[in-house]
Amino acid sequence: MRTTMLAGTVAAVLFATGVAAEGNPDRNAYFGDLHVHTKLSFDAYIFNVRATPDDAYRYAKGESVHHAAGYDVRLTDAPLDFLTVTDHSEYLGIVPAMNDPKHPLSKIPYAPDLFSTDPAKITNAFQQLGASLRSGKYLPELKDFDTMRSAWRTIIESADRNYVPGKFTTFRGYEYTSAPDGQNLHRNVIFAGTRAPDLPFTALESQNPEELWRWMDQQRKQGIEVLAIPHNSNGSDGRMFQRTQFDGRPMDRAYAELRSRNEPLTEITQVKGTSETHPSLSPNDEWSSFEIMDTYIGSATKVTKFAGGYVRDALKTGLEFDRAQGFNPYHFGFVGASDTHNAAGSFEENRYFGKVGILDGKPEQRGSAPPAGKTWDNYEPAASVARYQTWGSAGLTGVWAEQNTRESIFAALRRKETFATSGTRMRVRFFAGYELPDGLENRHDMVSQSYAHGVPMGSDLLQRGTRAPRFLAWALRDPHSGWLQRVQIVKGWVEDGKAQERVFDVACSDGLTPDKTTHRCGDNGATVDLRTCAVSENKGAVELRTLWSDPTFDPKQRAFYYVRVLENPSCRWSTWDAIRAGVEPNPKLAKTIQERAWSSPIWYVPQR
Amino acid sequence: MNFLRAAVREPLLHFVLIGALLFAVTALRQKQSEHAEIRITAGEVAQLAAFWETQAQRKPTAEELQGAIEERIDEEVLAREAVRLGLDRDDVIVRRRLAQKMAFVSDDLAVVAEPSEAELREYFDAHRETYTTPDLYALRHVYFNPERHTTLDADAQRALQRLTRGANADEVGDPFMLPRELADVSRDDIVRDFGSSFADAVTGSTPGTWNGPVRSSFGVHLVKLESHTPASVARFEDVRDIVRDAFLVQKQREANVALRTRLRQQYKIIVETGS
Repeated sequence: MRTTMLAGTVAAVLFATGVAAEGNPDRNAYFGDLHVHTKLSFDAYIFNVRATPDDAYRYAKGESVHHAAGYDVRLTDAPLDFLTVTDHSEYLGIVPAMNDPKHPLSKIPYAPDLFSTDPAKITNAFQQLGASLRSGKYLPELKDFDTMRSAWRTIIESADRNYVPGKFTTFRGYEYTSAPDGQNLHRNVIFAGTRAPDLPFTALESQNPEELWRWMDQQRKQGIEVLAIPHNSNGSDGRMFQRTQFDGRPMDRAYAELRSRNEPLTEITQVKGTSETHPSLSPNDEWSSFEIMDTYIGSATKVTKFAGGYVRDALKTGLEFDRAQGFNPYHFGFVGASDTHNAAGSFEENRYFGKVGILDGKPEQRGSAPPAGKTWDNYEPAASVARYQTWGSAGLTGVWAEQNTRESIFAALRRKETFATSGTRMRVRFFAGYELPDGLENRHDMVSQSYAHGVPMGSDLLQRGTRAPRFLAWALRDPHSGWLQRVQIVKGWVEDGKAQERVFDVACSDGLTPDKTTHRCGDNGATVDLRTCAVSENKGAVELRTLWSDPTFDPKQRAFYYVRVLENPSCRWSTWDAIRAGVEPNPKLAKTIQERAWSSPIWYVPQR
Repeated sequence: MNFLRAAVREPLLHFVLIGALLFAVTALRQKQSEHAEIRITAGEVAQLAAFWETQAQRKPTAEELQGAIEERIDEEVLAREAVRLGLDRDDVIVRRRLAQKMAFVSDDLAVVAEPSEAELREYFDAHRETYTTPDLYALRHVYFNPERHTTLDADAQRALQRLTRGANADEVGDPFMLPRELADVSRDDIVRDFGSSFADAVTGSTPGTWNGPVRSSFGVHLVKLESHTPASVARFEDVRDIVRDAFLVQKQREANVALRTRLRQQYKIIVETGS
């Protein structure tokens, strides 16, 4: 009896901590995309996308798929390790049915307009659906649960069919598309295993994400493990990470726990901009203007409130709540994604093919080449083109997991041992601990020592007396991308009740060292030839690693630390497009970018 | 003369003439269509009501619903007459929509029969490469970061001698973020992480001995191939269901192409060149 109970406890502990029976105990980096749309999404279908969930998985595995603009696309550098199809749950599969003459939905008066060749008619018919999502009210004539259930089955069966344990992982998932008054509160909902509900909980059931989380709690009670990942906080006009509950009431502990239990992660980057921080929020961060989108989603409406819309600001807000009230609503790690509506993420700058089917499938539609007969001097782009030209190429999620299985990768997402990249596959490790030994960064058993004596990215580090912790930061380049320029640690902390932030360069390439007062690496002199996009040879590093202590550490101050790694500059997709088109790059756009990665944070938690 | 030329160019005159012509044709055809039926089903009436509700944010009154039904009938009548008069021709939107509908219907027309075992085996034999597991390798390696060695080649050579004498590979070379042991990896897997020159060196070496130095995308390595499992084709019985799915997809595609070809044969197709 006693033995049985003990065995049961051990099994439960192993299960709870996600320790796999096999695989690499030091954990491997796997790269994937948890945000992909197919023709089953109402908008993708209207963008003329006809690729299916199976196509999305085939693309991720390295095969080519057809792009709506009339060419084939393929991942040229390497396939992905995992992928989730996350179609919009609102009107899931309804628009394809409206285009099927055998289906009763095709009899709806405005159905033909959706598929006409007249952009004005398409736009008008599309607005019916858009208005429904902004208001959160079903269009009664499209409330066809049988059709939605059938599309949901397609997604589930495709995810299960394409899962190859050990080689390629899929999850069942969908996107909850809440945008009250156009303010973006979208979430991707990811299920751990082979159980999922009969139908998704959509924004047409409730636009209040708290209702989604309560529904997820219910699922969990029935043994269906699930998590949600918010995205495009940059398009929420300050609402995604606001300081109150959805309805304006003050936050409390129950709210913070409900939120953290269901949303351990947030999407920091994707095609529609990077949501790390904004120049107005981080005036002392020279790298804060990376791929900024400053409008609402699918609209020219300008964002007016940046606080509450960016993740670094949210992490700081979380610290303030924690210090003042003892709970933290914004205790999350990072992932990156594409949000492609082509069933195929466009991760590579030199082969960018857009995100929204026939709308931005060609350079002149996305502002990287002027239309025929125009030059940059006499060309005024349409509002949509002006938006597409500011979009970046897709991001990626990296996870540290024992093996490439649903169990192992989901456990990594759950414990936030994740990092995000701007599409490059550089690998980043980050640990903190009090007992990390001298010279650790040069030891072969660096990783197992770090797990044994510290905590990885995504964890809390509890105060131990007045000792300062050490941080191990380590980055390895993507052999198909540029060389590394510097490793930074971004710190946020609370001082006199107010959250502060600072960026420290902690490792530099080319034999440089961070300046003791400015905490900046010197210029490594890496350049880009804008006529060819060739980058300078022999600049930058294959890998950078360091064991770092915070020179400003105060044991009483609550803080978070995350790693940001920057590559040398390289051409932005719009510059590559211009070179191929034989024109000058668009003068309104950045010509180069610095590809980058962000680790999930480690929180330093002082005793009360 | 001038008057006539002006009259020929006068749009109002065109309008009147065309109108008269349409009226004549319509009157002529009226008799034939006396018994044609226009039926608005209960389902359609419900949909009209629902659509009305979406637009107005409330339910239609009986009168309003009747109005919507009348509109629907008018639409049907006008549409039918337009087709009778051939107004659907030379209209890109109408033509595309019809072609789309036909494509949907043709998917159904071309029903694919359940394949026999012999057909499936034949398909399997013709696509053996699809059902082949590639050559698999197991290997160990140690890494040298060029940025941390001033005498890189000499350091690697010394390490090679130590390894050959039996030194513990875990303690040789520099720390490395990727695994130092790889099992069950294909050549593609190796190329993906280490580049093709590294993959060539590993897959071409004799199992059981340390070799190198070998270049990769990260620097320099010493490698030891532990084992090599040659490529193998799956047994038909194990992949029969996947073969069947692929077979059906291919047959469906062929049937669709055949149908289009057959339909084309009913037309004499002329594409004019030049301008």
